[in-house]
Amino acid sequence: MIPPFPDRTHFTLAFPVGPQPVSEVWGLISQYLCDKKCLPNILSVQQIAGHREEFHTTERLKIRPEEFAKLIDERRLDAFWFDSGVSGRTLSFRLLHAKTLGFQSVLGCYIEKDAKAPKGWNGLIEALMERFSTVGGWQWRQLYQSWQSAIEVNCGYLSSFGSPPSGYSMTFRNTESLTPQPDRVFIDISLNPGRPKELLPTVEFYPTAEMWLGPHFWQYAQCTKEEALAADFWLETRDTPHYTYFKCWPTPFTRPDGEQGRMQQRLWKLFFHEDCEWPPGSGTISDEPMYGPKELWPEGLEYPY
Amino acid sequence: MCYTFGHTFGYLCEQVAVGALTGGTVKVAQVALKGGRSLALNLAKRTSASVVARSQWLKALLREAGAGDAVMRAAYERGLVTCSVEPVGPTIREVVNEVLEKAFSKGGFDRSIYSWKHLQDDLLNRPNLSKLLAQTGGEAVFQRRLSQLATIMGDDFDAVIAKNFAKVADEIIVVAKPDGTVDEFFEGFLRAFAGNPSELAHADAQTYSKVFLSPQGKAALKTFLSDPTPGKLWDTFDEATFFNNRVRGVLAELSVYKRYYKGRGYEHAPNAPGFDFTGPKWVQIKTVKDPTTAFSRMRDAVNALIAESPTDKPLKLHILVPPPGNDSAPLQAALDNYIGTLPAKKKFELIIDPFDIIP
Repeated sequence: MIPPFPDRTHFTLAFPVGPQPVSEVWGLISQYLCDKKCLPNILSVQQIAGHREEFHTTERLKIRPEEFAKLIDERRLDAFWFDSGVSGRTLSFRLLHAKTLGFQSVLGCYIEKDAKAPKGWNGLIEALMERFSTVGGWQWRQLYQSWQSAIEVNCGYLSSFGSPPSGYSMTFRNTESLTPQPDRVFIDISLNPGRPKELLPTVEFYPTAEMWLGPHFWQYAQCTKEEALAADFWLETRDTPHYTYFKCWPTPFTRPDGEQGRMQQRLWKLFFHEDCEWPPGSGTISDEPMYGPKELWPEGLEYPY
Repeated sequence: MCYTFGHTFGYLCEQVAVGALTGGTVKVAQVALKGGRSLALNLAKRTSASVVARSQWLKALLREAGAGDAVMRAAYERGLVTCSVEPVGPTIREVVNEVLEKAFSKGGFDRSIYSWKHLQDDLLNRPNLSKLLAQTGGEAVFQRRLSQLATIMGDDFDAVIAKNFAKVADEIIVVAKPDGTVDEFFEGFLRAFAGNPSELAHADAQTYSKVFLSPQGKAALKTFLSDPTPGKLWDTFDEATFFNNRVRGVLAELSVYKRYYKGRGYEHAPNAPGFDFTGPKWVQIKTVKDPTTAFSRMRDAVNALIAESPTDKPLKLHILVPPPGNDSAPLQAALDNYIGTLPAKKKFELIIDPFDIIP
């Protein structure tokens, strides 16, 4: 079965050092899923991520959720990658560390369109940030995040996001294939309002409507926490000993233009003294919606593409 | 002892064989004197097959002046000597030509379909096998592998399988390189039918050591080498069983490695979990017959490649589908979308390639 685009609320959480014990990370995830009545009956666990080499195999281990903590402890896992193993309705979590590139780790998820999953991850993000030291946590609507961060115009781009804006600067690379195939086409997204920014290898900042910025984030920012809190465009802020919560838009972003685009522009200017533009090459933020998938087009306006 | 010596070609061949066996210092009669009757008898037995092969070769030369140039003649002769006196390999101690003559002579083996003459024709006339023959160290490779196949197949080895093995060897297993030489993966080919990745630890070895296959492996090998469509990867191995998936995957992986990746600086990691080749990129090869049902399996392959590889290396999932590959666009789009949700997308390349194991 070919699943539809996984357009759900996804989140990521970055740790400066891999969180230990890993079984507690799982404990908080399972508790949150249980509270939301979304805990899968069976977990399909990859036996590579976080495993010592002697365990490495592409065979997946099917276990009950209550057995996972024991597995983590017995195998002394320092990372994991598991999913609910239900084709088309998969809920997946991955805690991966940067290996040779540093001590940092990132927890992420993948939620298929029809998966049984919470609508938001606020409670889990906050519980994890209260327990472990973090760089930050972000959540977003996946269709928008994928569109804005797509660096290659491929089959998936065209089918999910439509034609790329004509103003993109493009580069071409040979496709390394047995049969002649068109060149790979890469686009320069460095001024996209919804682009991610790499803070350190494998750890990225996302300009999202809700952000939880941990104590380790500020060393990468161009402003202080106090300066950020002093900005006048927040809908809500909360400063806690473990994280600072910023909310600048009532729902996850869906557009890089209009007021949403300008709000993302404010985030770039505040946190990194960087700018953005939409459409690409315009040097500004368009008032009118331009480009993108139909699902993200403003309600009430005719979709022109 | 010397009944074969009365035959002109046989005599010539004996001299070649004896020369090889004794470092070229003694004649057969001297072998008899030095080694006694048993060694001499053994020598005669070994050479009986060579005589036949040799005579076919010489007949061909007489019949057709262009049947071989000096290099080919020398290579063929070296191969003949080797196959007359040396065992197949460390686990098959019988002499190559003895194994073949025994196989060709058994009841039910139709020598009109395959015999020494056909073997000679294959060695001299098939484009890649002839290059292998002419290559240093390649003079006896096909003959050895044919005798290895005969040993593995046992009673199932027949003339059709022998005939088709030559075709499959020439078109699939022996791979032409850009510099005009050839490479081969005979041992890996035979091991692939074990359906077990651990068998592939020495897939690229020249050991001639694979001698046993399970009944399932033998049946699969027999199907792959049988008429009417020998060497058809996608027809032989559908996705009905785990075993089929494994064998098909290994054969395609070996073929693609030899045809494409090896010459571009990649190393083969045949039994590594999550990846197949390392080099400029870390590459995982997957075969997919029906792209409409493969998403979950390919998503797992993406995940395994990311988890197993170093964080700073470019990654590539190279999916092979039956040509022309028209129905793979939805799978490609779904995987592009999936990879687009992962931080590793910046270093990830996904290629879906129409692939036939016969180039």
